[in-house]
Amino acid sequence: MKKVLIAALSLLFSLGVNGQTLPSMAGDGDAALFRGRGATQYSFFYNGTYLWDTPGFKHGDVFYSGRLYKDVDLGVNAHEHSLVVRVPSGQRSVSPDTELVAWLTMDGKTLVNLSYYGVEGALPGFYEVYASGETTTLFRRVVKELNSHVGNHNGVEIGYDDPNYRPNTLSFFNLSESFYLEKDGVLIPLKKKKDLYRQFPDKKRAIRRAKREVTDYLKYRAWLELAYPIADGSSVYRIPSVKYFGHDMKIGGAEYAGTPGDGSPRYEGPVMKVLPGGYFSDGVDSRHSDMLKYMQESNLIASFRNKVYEIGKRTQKRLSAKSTARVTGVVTDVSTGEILQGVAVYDEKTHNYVYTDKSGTYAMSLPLGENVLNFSEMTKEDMAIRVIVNGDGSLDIPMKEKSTMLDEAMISAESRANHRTTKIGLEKVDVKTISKIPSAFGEGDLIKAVLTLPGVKSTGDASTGFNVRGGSTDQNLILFNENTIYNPSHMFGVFSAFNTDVIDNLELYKSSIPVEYGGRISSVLDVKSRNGDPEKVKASLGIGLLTSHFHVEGPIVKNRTTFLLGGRTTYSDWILKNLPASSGYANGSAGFSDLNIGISHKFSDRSSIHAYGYWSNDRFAFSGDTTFHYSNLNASLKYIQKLGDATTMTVATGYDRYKNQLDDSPSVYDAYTLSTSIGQVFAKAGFKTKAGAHQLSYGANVISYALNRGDMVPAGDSSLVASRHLGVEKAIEPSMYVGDMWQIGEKLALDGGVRLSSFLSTQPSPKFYVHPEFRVSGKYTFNPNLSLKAGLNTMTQYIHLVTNSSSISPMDTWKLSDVDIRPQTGWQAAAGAYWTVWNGKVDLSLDAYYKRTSHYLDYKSGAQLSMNDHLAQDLVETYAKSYGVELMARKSVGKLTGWVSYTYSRALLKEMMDRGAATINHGEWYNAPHDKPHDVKVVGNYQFTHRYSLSFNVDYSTGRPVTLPVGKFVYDGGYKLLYSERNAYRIPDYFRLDLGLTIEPGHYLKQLAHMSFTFGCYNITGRKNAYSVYYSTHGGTDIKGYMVSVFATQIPYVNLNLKF
Amino acid sequence: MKKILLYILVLAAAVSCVYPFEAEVGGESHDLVVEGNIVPGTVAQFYLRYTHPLQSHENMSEGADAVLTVRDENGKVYAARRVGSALYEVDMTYASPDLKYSLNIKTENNEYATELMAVTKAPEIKELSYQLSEDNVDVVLSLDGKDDNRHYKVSFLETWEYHSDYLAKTIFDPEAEVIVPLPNDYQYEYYYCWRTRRPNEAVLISAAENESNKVMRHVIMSDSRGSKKFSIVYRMDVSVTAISDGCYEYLKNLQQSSNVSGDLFSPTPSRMESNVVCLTDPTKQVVGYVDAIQPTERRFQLDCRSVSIHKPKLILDDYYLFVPDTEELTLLDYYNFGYRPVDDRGQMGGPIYWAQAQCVDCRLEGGNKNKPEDWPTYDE
Repeated sequence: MKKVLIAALSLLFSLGVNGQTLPSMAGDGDAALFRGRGATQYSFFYNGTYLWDTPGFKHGDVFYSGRLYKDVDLGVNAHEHSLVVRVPSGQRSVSPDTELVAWLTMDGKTLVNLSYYGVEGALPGFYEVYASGETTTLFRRVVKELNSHVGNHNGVEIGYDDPNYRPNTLSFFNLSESFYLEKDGVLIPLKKKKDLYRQFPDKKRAIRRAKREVTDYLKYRAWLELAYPIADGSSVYRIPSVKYFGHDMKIGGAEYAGTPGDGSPRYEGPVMKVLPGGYFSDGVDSRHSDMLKYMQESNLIASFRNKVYEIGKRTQKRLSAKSTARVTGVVTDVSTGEILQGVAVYDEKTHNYVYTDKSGTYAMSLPLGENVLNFSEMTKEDMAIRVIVNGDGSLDIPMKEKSTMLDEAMISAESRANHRTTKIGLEKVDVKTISKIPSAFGEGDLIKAVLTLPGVKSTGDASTGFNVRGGSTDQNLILFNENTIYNPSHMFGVFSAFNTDVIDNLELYKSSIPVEYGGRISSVLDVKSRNGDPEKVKASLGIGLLTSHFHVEGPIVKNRTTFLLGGRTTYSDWILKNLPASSGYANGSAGFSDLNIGISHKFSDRSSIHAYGYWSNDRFAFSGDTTFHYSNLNASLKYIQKLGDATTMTVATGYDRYKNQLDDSPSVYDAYTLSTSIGQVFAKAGFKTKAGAHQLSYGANVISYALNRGDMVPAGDSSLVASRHLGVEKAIEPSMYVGDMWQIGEKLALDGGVRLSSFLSTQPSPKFYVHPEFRVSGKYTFNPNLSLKAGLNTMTQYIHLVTNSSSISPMDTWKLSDVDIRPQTGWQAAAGAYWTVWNGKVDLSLDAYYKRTSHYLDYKSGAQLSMNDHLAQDLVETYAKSYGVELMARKSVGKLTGWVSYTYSRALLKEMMDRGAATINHGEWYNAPHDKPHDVKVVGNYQFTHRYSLSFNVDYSTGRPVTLPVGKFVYDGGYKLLYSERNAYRIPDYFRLDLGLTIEPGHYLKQLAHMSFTFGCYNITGRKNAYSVYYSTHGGTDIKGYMVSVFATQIPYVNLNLKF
Repeated sequence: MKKILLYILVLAAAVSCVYPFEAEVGGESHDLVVEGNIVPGTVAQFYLRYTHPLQSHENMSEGADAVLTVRDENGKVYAARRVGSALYEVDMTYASPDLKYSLNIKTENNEYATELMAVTKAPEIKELSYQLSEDNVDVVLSLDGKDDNRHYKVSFLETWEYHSDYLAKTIFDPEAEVIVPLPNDYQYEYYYCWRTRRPNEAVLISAAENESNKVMRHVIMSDSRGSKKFSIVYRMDVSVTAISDGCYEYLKNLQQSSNVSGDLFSPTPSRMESNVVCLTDPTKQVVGYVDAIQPTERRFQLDCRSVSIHKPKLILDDYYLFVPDTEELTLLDYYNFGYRPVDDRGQMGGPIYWAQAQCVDCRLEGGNKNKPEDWPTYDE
């Protein structure tokens, strides 16, 4: 007992004191494995990898110096024939003494140091156990030779050891492999076919006969894979499972048996079809830390990856070499059990790929026999699964979230993501990225994260909403779990309306908008919240300078029904009350709260139901007599059902309400309350069907609107204000769609669809509009690293935000299309080139677009937009055009990750009607309020260790357009100002640099709560960025110009986060 | 630690700032500015000027050369005469308020005109009084409109009597460089003054959102109870005119555009169309809005001595008064620096105190000695 206690304390010390985690070890071992010399670093640029068969480290086990180390990040340097081990902190790699390495397993392979076992003829280094027969074992040895003759000096090729060689010259590693036969402790090279015949002369004829039957096998390795089982009887090629060998190991496990003479490789070991039930809970103390779970998940994933999966019954008779089978499955998150949509499933043999649908289901046709399926999704680790397809069947796949401990990646989209979809302008951001981008007051901000993406802009600090590719703020459809969010910000734009504690990820469609979305001209921002943890209750608490947030989640019925609850609130009133009177805000108040709730129930592997709710409330008053309120209320119910193997149905319904209110009381006689609201009930049904190379999407949506245009009621008995009600506008927006994603061969893919949208205004007067919308995009893949895309979208928008301020104001009103106000219609053509370079570490992209819109609403000079019974008379319809080029370089692996982007774009408006002298800017094109031609963004994260990371964010853009006075005159005894054409001038350019330092918790196994800190500084240079520029005559006495800067100095912040 | 935290929090929340800024704007600006209204029954006044580039240093009060006429619906023309650089007067003493009128302006190159306009009649002023709060005096106005017009423009002229902080009983003769006692008849010469002020912007009131065409106790002027306005007698001559919807929107936009607050939700300033159009070049911009009106006028007067209104600021003699040190400077030096002797304590044997000139000379606070004819008399 005492010994156990000491061992436990030692383990705890090693984990806790150093703040790092050592891999679990069988036996009493220590960290000797990690005390080797530093692994060789190649200072020059090279192509390919020096590692054995793998592009990077792989999880595996190693038997070193008499001890077994499990779940270590391993690699074999096939150039030096040495073992490379990544130290668990991720900071460095070491090369342990190769002579002390007996064997290792990684990536489904077993590598043996034959010289360790005294095998005669064995070279130092490793040999892969390739097959085992009755009397012999077949080994494979990989050698990576550095091609050093690519340097160039005065026209003469030189090697990298030449004194004239300069770093950064591209070199590459040539792969060569050789095979050996171990027989009676002697290693025999198999260089040619006759070498095998010599060892098995009596099987020569049988081998030749089999070769004639399978003509595909042309290469020597393929020939060996065929010939060896015939030559040495019962055999399999490749040992597929992790086995632990002792000193007295016998190469080739007895449980792996094959059928002689069959000619096809066989696997007789255990086959996994789904995750073992209760895998995580068995024997696991619930008090253990996330780190322990992380290790368990890693084990599972490693185990999952290392196995060969058999699909279909082996007794099924193979029809022919070209026969195919239908394979389906569900991809889930290994941690949460959550289904994963949009996972790319790629078949290496046919080069076909499909995506998982909303229910996480994939379905594809695979050729019979052995194959490798690749699963990739931006926030998850890539998985390559080896399968043997015997016939139709299913294979469910768990995927693990990307972790900085594994690959130190911290970016929005993984490498090569752009090559996998036909969509142009699709941006994905996961919650980890959001949480690391510095923001004012330090709280992870979804909208601010979106603003770091190319082509997305805002009118300035603390502005509500965002502008995508020249579109206005109301032209973005913001969806949160199927619900529409009309105001995505808190506190006039300082905070986003979304609690990152409950957010899973977001997708922003800037150009190729999928056919199932409609109703907005510019973009779709689809935000998804997480489902609750199906295994155990978790919680988190965050405390910041201005806000606090929490979340709790867990199972209601284990692995069946889960819940998720999150909330935020602020205590800024206290801050405002402590402001000096001279600030003008001392008597102000401001605050917000929001609440998220989600409940999910899984009926079976084929059906589930999800219920979501969201509520938010904002209020602020900066003067004593005017108070603003606005609130969002959203609820939805979604049901997902698989119909057969090829079709998934998603049905959803819900209710959205956005309400705003102004309480104004300049005197008791003029006091009033003004409110508007918009409510909508929606229902949607969508189907996705996989049929060969086609993936069909079809369905229908309907939205029923009830828009209260405005209620003004007196406040108090003394008020003279009349009650006035502008009435309720009612309308129905039904639509139906069909689309197809068609993979035409290896290189070409097309995505097209038609959406028939319509709008029936029923109140106050009937009016019907119908518009077909077309969505077409295509991708041509030149090679895995280079692809081109092009697309064309047409869109229609039936609801409009009416505003005359540069930022969304709480009192801006929404307006439905009617007899007088026509729907906005528009189209966008876009094209892009995507190039992955530097061994997949860097993605380069170039996107260009041109967009036109008609019937976009602008306001007449002096327009009365609030409580206006004849609003259309104060509005004008405009043409809008925008165009631009977006350049982006994104680095997705390594300690330094992030992206750099430059955008040149223009957004212009032009009044459609000629109103004579009153026509805005004489009917010429004028700058849209959000037109900012030059835009540079740099977002990065440097991961010092798995605990410490530094994030930075640089934002530069041209100043936005404003209308400034160009003249002055005397009127009514004082000075007055004469204004320029609309938006003829610009405020000064915008620049901001933010820094943030995140300290993640140490992984103390038995600690109940884990604490992390985020320190940072927003606008670290303290630049006084202009939010607006204006002139005042001070009551007619003097003319002076001013600049308003919202964040005019450095804003330090600190956030404390607790996870339970 | 608590203080540091509070400092950080306050700093973070108080970072929104306004800074002086001069934009580089250019361009010519020479549009006609028409200011004034057609007022039947009176001598109507119009000011004709031009706009100037924002950064121009030209004399903005300079008038425009033009021929200005008012025409009624029957074709009768009322010609204006130029009485100042920019001021034109039209004698409409006998014009009927029941007719419609239009304005016509001919300059050297262009001709401008309005359409025929009906005269809008202002309602009687129901109430013109004041209300007190802890710190302020508000002058409030109530109207009881009868017709459909629900927009009002209120302009007023303020006059008030006040006195300087100190009653000077001596005067410094700079030529003789001696302090001379003032005779009793002259001691109040620099002590009491009258001041008039016309605000540079009219007050715009709308009853459009009210149940009836009533305006109740609308604050048309508010000032501190410490202001010298309310130290003795305060008078306000108020003129109320009913204005058209177009005029109200125009003037409201003009005021908002010229006094932009710059807050986050401010409407983007813009320029509105005048109802005076250029007949010879319709694309030419004109500034100003002309209405045909019939105002209502009323006087409000407040004897501040009879009610406890004024809260005079605390005058600390030790702060304002001092005895000149004549070792380094002469009395003439103090005089030239803007100081004046205050009282005759010197004759009593003590030192003579001095103070800043504006403390003893009421004229230096913007007033004058022009007592209005009908100003109330009182026992000094």
